[in-house]
Amino acid sequence: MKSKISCFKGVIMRRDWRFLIGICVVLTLFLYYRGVHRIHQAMRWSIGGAKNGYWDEKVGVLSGFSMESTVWVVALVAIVSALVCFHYLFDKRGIQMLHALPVSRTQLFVSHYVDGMIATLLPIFVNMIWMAAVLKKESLVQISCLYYGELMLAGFLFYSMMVLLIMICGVSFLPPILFLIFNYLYIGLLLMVGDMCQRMIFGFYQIELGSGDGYMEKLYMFSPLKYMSSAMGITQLESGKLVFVGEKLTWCYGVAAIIMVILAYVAYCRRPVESWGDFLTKPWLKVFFSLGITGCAEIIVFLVILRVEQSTRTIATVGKANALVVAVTTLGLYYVVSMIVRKTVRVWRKKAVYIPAIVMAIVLGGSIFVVQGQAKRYETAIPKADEIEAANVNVNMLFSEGEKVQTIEDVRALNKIILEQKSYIQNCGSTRLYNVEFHYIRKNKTSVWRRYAIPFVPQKVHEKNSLEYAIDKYFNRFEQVPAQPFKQKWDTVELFKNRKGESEKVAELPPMEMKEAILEDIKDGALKPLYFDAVENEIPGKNILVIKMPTCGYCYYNSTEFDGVDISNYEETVSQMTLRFNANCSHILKVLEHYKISLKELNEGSYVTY
Amino acid sequence: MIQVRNVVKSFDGSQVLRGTSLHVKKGNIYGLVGPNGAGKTTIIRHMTGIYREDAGEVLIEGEPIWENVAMKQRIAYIPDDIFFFTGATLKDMRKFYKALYPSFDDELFEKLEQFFPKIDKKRKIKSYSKGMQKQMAFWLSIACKPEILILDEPVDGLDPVMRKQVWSILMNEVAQRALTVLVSSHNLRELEDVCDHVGIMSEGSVILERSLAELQDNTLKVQMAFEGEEPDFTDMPEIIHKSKAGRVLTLIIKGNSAQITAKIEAKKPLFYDLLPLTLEEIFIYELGGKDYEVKDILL
Repeated sequence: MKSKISCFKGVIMRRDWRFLIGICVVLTLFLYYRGVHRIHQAMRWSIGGAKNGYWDEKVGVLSGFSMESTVWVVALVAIVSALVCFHYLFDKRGIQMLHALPVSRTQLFVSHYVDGMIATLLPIFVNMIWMAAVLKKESLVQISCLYYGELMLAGFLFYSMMVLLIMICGVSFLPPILFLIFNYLYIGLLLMVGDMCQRMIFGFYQIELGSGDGYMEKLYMFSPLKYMSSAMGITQLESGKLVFVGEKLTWCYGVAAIIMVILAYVAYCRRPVESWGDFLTKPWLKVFFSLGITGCAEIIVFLVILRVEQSTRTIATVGKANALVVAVTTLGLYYVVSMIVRKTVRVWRKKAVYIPAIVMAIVLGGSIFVVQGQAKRYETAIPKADEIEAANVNVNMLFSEGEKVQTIEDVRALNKIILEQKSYIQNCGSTRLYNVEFHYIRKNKTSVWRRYAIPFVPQKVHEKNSLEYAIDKYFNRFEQVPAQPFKQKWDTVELFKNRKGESEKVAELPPMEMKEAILEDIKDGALKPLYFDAVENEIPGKNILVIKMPTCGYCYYNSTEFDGVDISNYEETVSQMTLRFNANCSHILKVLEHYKISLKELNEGSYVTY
Repeated sequence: MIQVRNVVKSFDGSQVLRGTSLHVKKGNIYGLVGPNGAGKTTIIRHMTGIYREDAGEVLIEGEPIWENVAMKQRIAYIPDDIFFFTGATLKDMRKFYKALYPSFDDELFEKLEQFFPKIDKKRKIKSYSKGMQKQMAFWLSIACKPEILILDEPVDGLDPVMRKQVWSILMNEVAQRALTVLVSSHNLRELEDVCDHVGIMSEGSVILERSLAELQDNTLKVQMAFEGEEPDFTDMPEIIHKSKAGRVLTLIIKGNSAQITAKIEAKKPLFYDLLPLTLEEIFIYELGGKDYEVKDILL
C-alpha cells in the first residue's frame, strides 16, 4: 500500500546517486574554492594586522562576490543533473524497462526530479551554512545568505527549466541546446529585431545591451542566465556597507520555476514512450518549433542579405535595400539552408514549412518597402516637439551634456540637421565614425532613441554648411564649460614646454589672469574639443599649461583637451588640470607675451590641426 | 487473465495495431506468433503498461494495466532487448527488483542459482554476453514470483541446453503455481512444444486465436493419388492450398477430420494419407496471401 500513496521511490532515487554524488562533490568544492576558501585565505593574511582588519578582509573578499561564473557553473550542474536523472528517457531500452516496472509515472518523475534538485542545491546550501559559520558577523551572514539564496534560486530555476525541456525532447543533445537558446531568447530577439529594424530604417546597426535604461534592465530578466550572471552580486557602497545587488523581482524566477515543474510533470505523465528518438515528443510542439525556427532562420538570412547590401558602418547604402530582391533572396536562401538542414539533421522529416517561410519573406520584404517609403520623410522619425517632455543628446561619451543647455528645440534641431545631411553621410566614405545618440522622453513616459553613426572629417569643422560645423557649434558653446573648475580659486598655473616626450617647466604664470584668458579663448572658439582620442594622439602636445586648484572631482570641458582632473593621481587636497593651447588662443598668448615668453622660443606651431 | 480488446495504436500517423483483440486464460502458456512487423512487440508493450492505447482497452483481471502499479507488481516482463543499469551487478539488480516486487522470493532466487552456474552475482552485468544477460533476466523474473510472465523472444541468444533449462523452469512454475505466460517468438517448433494456446497476428490484428490442439485438429494436410483424372473437390470444406507432384496430390484443408476423411474416401483414391500440420505450417498457410505469397514453398 505504501507504494500507492508515496510519490517517492527510494530504490529509484538511490540509483541516480551513483553519478550524482560526483556532481555534488565537484560543485561543493567549486563553491568552497570561490567562497569559504577565499575568506580563510584572507583571514590568514590578516593575522597580525589591525584588530578591525580581521573583518575588513572578509568584507573585501565578499565585496568581490559576483554571480558571473558561479551562475554558469550552477547552470551547468543543473543541466548535467537533469540529464543524469532523466537520461533513461533518451534510451529506448531504459525507458521501456522503467515504465514496465511497477512504478507510477508520478513516482518516477518525483523521485528523479528530487534527486537532481538535491544534487544541484545541496552543495550551495552546504556552502551557505559553511560561509555563515565562518563569517559569524550578523550583517555579513545576511549578505552571504542572500548571495547563496540567489544561487539556490538560480539552481532551482535552471534545473526546472532543464527538466521541462527534457520532457518535451526525445533526443539527449537537444535540451541543453534549447536551454541556452531559451536563456538568451529575449536578448537574441532584441538584437535580431533591433538589428533588422535599424538596418531597414537607418541602414546601419547600433544597439548596445544594458544601455542604462532601468526599464530595459528589468526586461533582461527574460534571459535569466544572462541576467543573473551579469546583474547580480555583492558590492560595496562608498560608505563601506556591503549590499547584494539584484532585482527585487527575482522572486518571479521562483514562481516561474514552480510553473515549469508543474508543466514538466504534466508533460511527463503524458509523454508517449514511443516518442523516444523524436526531436520533440508532442506533434503540436513540432509545428511550434518549426515555425519559430523558420522565423528566426529567415530573419538571420535576411540580416545577412542586408549586411551584404549595406556595408557595415559605412552608411553608404542607407535605405537602398531593394524590398523585392531581399524578399526573394531571403526565401531562396532559406530554402537552400532548410534543405541542407533537413538532409543532415532531419529537423523536419516530412515537409518543410514552406507557407510560413513565404509569409515571413513577404512580411520582411514588405517591411522594407513600407519603411523606405517612410524613410523618404526621414524627419518624421523625430517625435514632435509638443509630445516631448525631455530630450538630450550624447556623443560617444566625449562630450558632457552640459548644464541645462540642451533644450528640446536644440536637440531636435541637431537631429534634423543630421537627417538633412543624409546624402553627405551616405557618400562621405570616411572610416572615422562616431556615434550620436538622441534620447527623447515623451509626455506619456515612453522613450524614443535615435542613434546615428556619423563620419567625422576634421577639416570640415570650419565649413559653415558642414555637419561637422553643426556638431562643433552645438557642443562647443561657451555655456557648456563646466563651472566647477572655473569657479574655484586657482592655486598655480605653470607653463611647460614639451619636447620629444620630456616636459620642461618654462614659467609660472599669474592664476587670475590666466583664468580670464583661457575663458576668453574658449568663448572665441579658439580652444576647441578634440573629438577623438585618435586625433589627440596624432597631435604632438607641445605646450601645456598645468593648473592646480583645490579638489574638484572629475570634470571635463567637452573633450579631452582639458585632461581629466584626477584627484587620486595627485595629492588629496589639490587637483591638477592640464590644458594644451595653440596659436589661435590670442588671449593666452597675450598674457605670455606680457611675461616675455615668445611662441618662437616655445617652438609653437598650430596646435589644433583642424 | 489478460484481455486485449480492439486496441488501436498509431505511430507517426501509421496504424500499427488495428483493433487487436486477444484473450489469455490463467495458467495458460500463450504463444503469440506473426510475421515481422505484425505488431507483436507493440501489443506486448501495451500489456506491460509501456504504451498507452489510442483506442480499445488492455485489462488484466478486469483492470486496466496503464499506470496500475498494483497490477504491474503481478507481471514480469522480459523484453527482446534487455536493459540493466550501467555498472549494476546481479546483486544490485536483485535489491532493485526486491524493492519493487513485494512477492520477490529470496529463497527461490538462491534456489535458482543451481540452474545458472556460470553467473557471478558480483560481476557487472554489462560484462556478460547477451545470452548470459538473458539468463539473468529469467533468474530475476522468476524470483519475482509474478502471476503473469510476458516474454518477447525469450530464448533468442540462448544455447540449446540453456533453452531447454529455461523452458523446463517455466513449465515447472506453470505447473506449480498456475503462472500465466505470454510468449512471442519466431521459433515455432519450440512454441509448439510448450504452448497450449496460440494467437497469430498479421498486419496489426490477431487473425487466429485457438488452442494448439484445436488448431492442429482443424487444419489437415492430405496426400493422395487417383487413377486417371483428378476428381472435383468443390464439395470439400475450405481448401487453403493445393499442389501436385507427379500423381501425388496434396491438399491443405480446413475443417473436421472425420468429414474430410469421409469425403475423400468417397472419391476412391488409390491411396490417401491424413497428416497433422505443424505450427510452422499452420502459420505459413494462415498467412498465405496475407503477408506472404506462400505458394509451394513448403511442399
